[in-house]
Amino acid sequence: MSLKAFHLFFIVLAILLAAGCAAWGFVNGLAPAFGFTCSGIAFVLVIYGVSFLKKSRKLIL
Amino acid sequence: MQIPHEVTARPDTGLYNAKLGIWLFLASEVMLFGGLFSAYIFLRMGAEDGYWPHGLLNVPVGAGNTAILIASSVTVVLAWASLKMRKFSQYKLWMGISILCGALFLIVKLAYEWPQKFEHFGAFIKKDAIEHYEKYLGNHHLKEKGLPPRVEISGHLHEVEIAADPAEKEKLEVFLKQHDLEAKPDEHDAKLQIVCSEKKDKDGKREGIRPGVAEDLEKVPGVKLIAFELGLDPINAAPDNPESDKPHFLYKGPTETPGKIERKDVEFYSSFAPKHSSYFAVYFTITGLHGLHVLAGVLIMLYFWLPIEGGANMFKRNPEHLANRVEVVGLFWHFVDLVWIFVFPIFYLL
Repeated sequence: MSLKAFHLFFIVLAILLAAGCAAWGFVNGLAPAFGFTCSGIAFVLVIYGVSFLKKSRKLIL
Repeated sequence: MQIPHEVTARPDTGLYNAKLGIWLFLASEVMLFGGLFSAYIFLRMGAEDGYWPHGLLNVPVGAGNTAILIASSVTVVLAWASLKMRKFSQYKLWMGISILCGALFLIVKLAYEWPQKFEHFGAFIKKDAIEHYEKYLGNHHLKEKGLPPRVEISGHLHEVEIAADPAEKEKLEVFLKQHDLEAKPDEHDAKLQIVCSEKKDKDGKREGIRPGVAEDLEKVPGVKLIAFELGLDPINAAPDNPESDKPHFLYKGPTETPGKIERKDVEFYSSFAPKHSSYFAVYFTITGLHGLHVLAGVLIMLYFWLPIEGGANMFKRNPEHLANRVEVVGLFWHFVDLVWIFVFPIFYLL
């Protein structure tokens, strides 16, 4: 497995972590601001992951 | 002699030497951390009610460190991609940022998170004395709500009350001087009862006693520890507060609300060091080992960043070889960050 593939795997797990943190923040109203921040981070990571996948296809990595 | 397959892939494996090596190494690392995570699961499942703490770690700081590591994984890939595109200045920039992120993570751990634990005092109360400390534990309130009981009182240790044998007074005085402690005779019994506290700082603020010093004080011949006086943690200062029943996001340090615990009622006390509980033993083992991996990653990345032979200077001679080396360290760095992705939720959130 190349660094490219491992990076994509890592980003998927980071997205899951951010989503889990967001859920933790929203449950029982523990920390809604943290929940929103983590949701935003998850969204940004999804966009990054897709753009990385597209760009890395163009480059020979 | 030129070692074959440092740059090009071996025909049989499809991998160059270093990549095959790093994957074998990472497989062994998976087994190492896998064993430790398994230990965590079994220790947690086997912990008695009240003996597995919640909410002792600082979630915003841990989340910040997580974000730093995730960002560093992105930058290390950008550094590798820059080398592949033969953009050396971009490589230096992204690799430099990766190194800084790793160093920042370690600084937060070493200068803030870990030292804070060694200053914090926690005492597990004997089962037959728990009722005496209801005002700090709030177990009646917890029982009504069907929640597990509390057995620990924690906070910032302000003073310890001791009884000293006058015949061994000299040894006590040497100890007090060595540890910069103030001893004041208790008003009830000026001869035997002594209250010890560490000297005040420049601003006149009482610094309290480090739990480790209290443990050593108890070992001084002729000294018997009578009681601990502490500034209670919020959970013990207001145990009936519904906010104390659930995990919290913002870390709130010890309050100025005073609490007193008799030594005879304490089953075990210490700082939040590995010996304190299974929780801190496994916490320090996993985060300590992870910290060592971060340190190793930072040092290797620094080696490839510095203009030295085998490092960044290799770009002029054989840029593809340097790119392969950076890919290998990138794989290691991703693994280290991946471990943290599991560490953060299990210790900080759950």
